[in-house]
Amino acid sequence: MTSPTDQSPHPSSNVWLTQENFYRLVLFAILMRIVLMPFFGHVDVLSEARRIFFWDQQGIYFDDISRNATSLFQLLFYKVFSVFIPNEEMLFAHANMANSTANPVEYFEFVSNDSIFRVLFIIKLPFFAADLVTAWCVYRLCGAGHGARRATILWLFNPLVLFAVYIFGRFESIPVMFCALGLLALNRERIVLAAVAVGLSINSRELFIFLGPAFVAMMCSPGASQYSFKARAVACLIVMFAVAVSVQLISLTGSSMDSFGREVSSIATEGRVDELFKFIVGAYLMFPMVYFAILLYTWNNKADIRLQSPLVFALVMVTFFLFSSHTAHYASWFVLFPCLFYARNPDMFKPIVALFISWFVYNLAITDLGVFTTWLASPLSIHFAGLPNFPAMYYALGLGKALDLLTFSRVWSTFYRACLIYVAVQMSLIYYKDIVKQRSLSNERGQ
Amino acid sequence: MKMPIRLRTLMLCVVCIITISQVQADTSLIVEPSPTLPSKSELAIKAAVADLINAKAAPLNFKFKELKTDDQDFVINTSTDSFFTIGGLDLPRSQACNLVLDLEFKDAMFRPGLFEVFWAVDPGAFGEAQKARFLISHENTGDATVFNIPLCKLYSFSGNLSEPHHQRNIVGLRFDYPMNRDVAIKFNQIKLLNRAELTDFKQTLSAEPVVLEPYERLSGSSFRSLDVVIPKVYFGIEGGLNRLSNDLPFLVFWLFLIGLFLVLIVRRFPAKLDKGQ
Repeated sequence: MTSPTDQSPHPSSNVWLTQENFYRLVLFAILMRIVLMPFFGHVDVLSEARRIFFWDQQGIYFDDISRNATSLFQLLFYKVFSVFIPNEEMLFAHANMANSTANPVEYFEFVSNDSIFRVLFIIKLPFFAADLVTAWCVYRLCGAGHGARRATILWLFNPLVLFAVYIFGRFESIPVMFCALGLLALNRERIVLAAVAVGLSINSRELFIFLGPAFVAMMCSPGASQYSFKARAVACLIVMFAVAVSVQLISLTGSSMDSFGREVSSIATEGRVDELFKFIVGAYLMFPMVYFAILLYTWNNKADIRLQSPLVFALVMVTFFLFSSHTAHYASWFVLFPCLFYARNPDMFKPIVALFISWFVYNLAITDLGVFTTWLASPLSIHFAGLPNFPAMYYALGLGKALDLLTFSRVWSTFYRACLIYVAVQMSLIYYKDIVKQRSLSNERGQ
Repeated sequence: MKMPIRLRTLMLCVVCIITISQVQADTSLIVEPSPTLPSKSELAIKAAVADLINAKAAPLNFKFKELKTDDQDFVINTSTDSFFTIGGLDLPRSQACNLVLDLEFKDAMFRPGLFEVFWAVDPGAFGEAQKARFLISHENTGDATVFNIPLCKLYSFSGNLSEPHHQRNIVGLRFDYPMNRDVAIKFNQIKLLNRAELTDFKQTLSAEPVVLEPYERLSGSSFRSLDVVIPKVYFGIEGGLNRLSNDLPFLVFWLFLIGLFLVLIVRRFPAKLDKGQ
């Protein structure tokens, strides 16, 4: 991402975003996270903590299909910090680990414990660390100049990641961190290291599997010709192995049961993935259609992979979110990319803010129990679990007479996707400007 | 001496009539008797609510579901949906302000237990919109403990609190066991007390009752009023912040971290850091 255009300062932000103010804002962002960490969480926080506790007790390091890297990362933190958790057995032990997903009743019991605030703080430490590593990656990727400061601040204060990691309480920052590290390694021309990082991101979350073929296409493109065949082949093999592991780890190792006693086949047969991966719109599979187009474009791309990799990964992510139904916290997966391009063009600020607003209102409108409601503040007080959600208030306030909630949600869903498209187009334009500049520079050198 | 057959038949009839009348007298308090339920559960609960019956002078009725009683009068849940109801009440909100439970757990719970209390208002029945949850900490289940559930704090108890002219009397209570664990409880006392009665009752106790905060689900319509929104949100935040002090070491650490970062934020940074501008 480092290029001459990185240092194009925005007149207004240049005035106040000095290095000193940048440090202050970074510290304030960390402070904000420390304040949020103990008080919020979804039921899934308990489900995940149960699994980590179980693996810790049983001495298991690789088990959860398609999320091995995430689990391992959490497990390492847990082994260090669980010494500060009193009575782990009472908090996390679960008799039937084949069905480890917690229900609301179990969750209310969990959050009623006196030590819940410290427990949530400790559980979120790996997410917090991954989040800060990503912020560092953004800063380095964007050239550590003024644009980098702007992009890092946008990352640190973006509501999608704050919600997903510190309010919803999920591990989304871990796959994003590996993805950012992969981009940084590509930027530093360390393609084998990049392959390892991208492979880890693929093994952190289901969706990141789509980065695998994109990475291989990049390695096979004319843009990667500066690297030796051996290096590219090794990088491709690493990523392909990561994809294979993510799809079907247990069966590769000859076992068909995981440590919970569940039969393991592949991620495609898991219910949650099945829902997520339904791309059918009319007669077309919209996401695969655009995804294949991106792969073809990447395969044929002559541009330096340092320039093309952020755009390729960004387009893969944005396309996925354009054509899939997903819950609110999944959206945190793509925020990294607008941040990277925002460093190059401050005019992206307005569409990015519009994207955040449309994401917020859309998810308010479609929320169900505990996903995007005050329910998430149950650790602070279970009273919040009883407050009505937005759809209930929408009808209670009589707004449904003016515009029914379904139409309201569709309107905001459309805004949300329009923002995604606009941001994707902006990112592509910035990329092409960079390509043109790079070519003109190389032409000048050639003359 | 052998009794004549007619006399024996007559005596048998008398015995049968007396037995049936006794059974009817016993079951007169039961609205829907459960055929599988031993009467010991009913007796155990009835004994516990003796004060309630006397104080309110009402003919109470009971219903039990999926409960059994052991030899020591501990009432045990046998499924994930076990409860008993007390019907026949007729109390205004102010009189049914505090639900006081003197409970004895046979075994201390390993984890906190989520219980539910439903209420029925005149003339309705029990429903999901009229219930509150309360958590009994596992730490309070070692010995006999007196609990107080301040039902008056609930906005939907006996009608929306923000509409004082639309209150209705409480006619029934339902006590639900935790759905995900077996619990054996001896009900020593169940009382519904107003504020003054609670104060008097506390005088008779050696220790303060354990207050169990009831949690309720509010409807969208009730939440339209700022009279509900502001105190409800405030109550949630206040209750949460109060809980922070339950884990003092963490609170100190957390506040230290916050203080540290505040100091770092307001300090002057060395000028060399600003070279990057």
